[in-house]
Amino acid sequence: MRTAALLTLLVPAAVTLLPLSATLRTAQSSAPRLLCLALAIGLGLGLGSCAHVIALALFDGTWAGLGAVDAAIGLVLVGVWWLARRSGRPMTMPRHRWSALDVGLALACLLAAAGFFGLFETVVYRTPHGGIDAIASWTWKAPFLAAGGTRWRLPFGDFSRHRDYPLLLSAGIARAWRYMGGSDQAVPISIAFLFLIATAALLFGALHALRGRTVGLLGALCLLGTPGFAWHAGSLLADGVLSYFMLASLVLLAYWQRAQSGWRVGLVADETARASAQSVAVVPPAKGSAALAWAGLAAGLAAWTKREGLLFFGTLVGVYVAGSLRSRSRLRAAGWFAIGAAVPLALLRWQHQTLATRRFTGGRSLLEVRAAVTDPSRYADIASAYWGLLLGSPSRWLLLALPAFVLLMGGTADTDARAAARRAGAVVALLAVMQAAIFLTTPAPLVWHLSTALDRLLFQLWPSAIFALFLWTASPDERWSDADA
Amino acid sequence: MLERVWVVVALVAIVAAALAALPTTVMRIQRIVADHPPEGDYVTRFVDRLQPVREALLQRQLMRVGYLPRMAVRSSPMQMRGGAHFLWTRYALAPILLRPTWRESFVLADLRFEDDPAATMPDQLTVEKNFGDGLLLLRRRKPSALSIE
Repeated sequence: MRTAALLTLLVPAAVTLLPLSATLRTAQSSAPRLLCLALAIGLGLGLGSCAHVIALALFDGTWAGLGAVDAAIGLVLVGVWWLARRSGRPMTMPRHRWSALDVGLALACLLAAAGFFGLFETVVYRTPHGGIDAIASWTWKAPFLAAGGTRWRLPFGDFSRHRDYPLLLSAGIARAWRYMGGSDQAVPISIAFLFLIATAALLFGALHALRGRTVGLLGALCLLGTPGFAWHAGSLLADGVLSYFMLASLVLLAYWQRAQSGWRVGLVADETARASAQSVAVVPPAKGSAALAWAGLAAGLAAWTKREGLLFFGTLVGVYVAGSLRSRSRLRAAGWFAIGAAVPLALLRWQHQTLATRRFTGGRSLLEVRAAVTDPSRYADIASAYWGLLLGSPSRWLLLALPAFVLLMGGTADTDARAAARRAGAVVALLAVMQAAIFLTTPAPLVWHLSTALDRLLFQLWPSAIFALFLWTASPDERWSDADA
Repeated sequence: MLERVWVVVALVAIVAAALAALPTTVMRIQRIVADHPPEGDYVTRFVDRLQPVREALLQRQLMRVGYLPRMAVRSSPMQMRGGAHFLWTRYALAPILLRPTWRESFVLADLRFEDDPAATMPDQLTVEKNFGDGLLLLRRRKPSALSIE
């Protein structure tokens, strides 16, 4: 049954892969192919979820309506592929030999992956229905959305909690169930697995493409060395999905920034890699716009996944607009970003206007918020929870080793990568501060809220934080080249 | 030379730190295996127990049903709807909406843990179908037309 579920879920990914690979210029090297594949899995599932909700909103989810919306979105994607394919020219990528260090890191990644995916498999095998939030919200809504007709509006009634939660995950599950003709638990499990493996592949593929294979392997190793991330994914919550879309947005924006400066593909600053490159090509500047549109789609889908995703969207736009105020061309480029984000954001607005009203503060008055903000004991509780998580996490050594690694290696000479890393890092840092502010003002009992949500919120940022750190840090090859010089 | 040493130190540190979580991961896997028997966790058994109810309600084309939990948590719908039993029941019955009130035409009662189930039933409700194991479908004596669509 899991094979059938995977096949149902992979069809939209396959259709999305066509325009992605054409517009982002997949070439000979395995890294960009992996990057496109990882992007296609998440963006395809996200677009499938959007299609399902559009079909519900317009046609109450009838088969004809579902087919029409799927066909329309499929035609747009195939059209983009056709246009990009006709106007584009094939590009070759540098091929780097595997160094002894790369082989060693790959073996370490395999070892870490065994524990990482072993934990995921154990969690989903022994607790197939996931955590309480999956039962109370994400998976619970899916049978209603799969049923269509008049049933699909039932979870948004007066007694329903979480009725303002975005619908990407629930509608993604519902869509697969609809096509499979049954509600098998293999679907939510497969979705969680696909997003988990796509996050790891995206992190490796992006760092490989932007900074070289060694850095890609180091980044992947750090994610695979965080078993808590796999455990949360196995709980079938939306946090893992959100972390994927956050990472995808930042990767695509870094890709766009690189394209703006007419990047030399491979983007490797070190001499060793450059010497072993078989060929180098230049991305035409027009291709950067496509990366921006895909980045907009990924950021929009983040908002369509969880409420924190809307916070991410606003922060991302704020950081990039603030960094582009002096550049008219970049402000114009924001149009491409908006085009990509339009569909998921429109769906989110429609949901809040027609199905549920938003409640950001949970009914807290301004006076209560002010009292919470000026209460020193809340700061102490929050600091204590962060400190406890740092010391008690199985990944605590990684949390300590990462800053040490950055300090020892220093920044890369690749100015484009450093610029992209600064922006990605700013987004992650601002979100971390805002998450702490959410705890400060939460209407829920603070200690309970911290104990149930803090690690989940931090895991949302974890892949993006790893990406920003390794994008900024010098690669071992760079440092060794410096030493030789 | 010193530069090379620092690079090696940094690499060893990051690889060791990433792999340091492995023993904890193995222990975590063992704990999960020990805590959750292979025949299914509590939620799976709960969902399986409610399958006949779900099928019967779907056959009747009911859109929603009320919920009559054990006596101890009946005092407040707010308390009821946040309870794990209510959430699991609601999850198991989807796409039938379970509402945290017994002011519906049809009401699902889960009286498995009541010593005297009959004594805890409100007078306005009568047994429509007994599924066994404390699961009863109740009907309001004066039904409202709203619940059947």
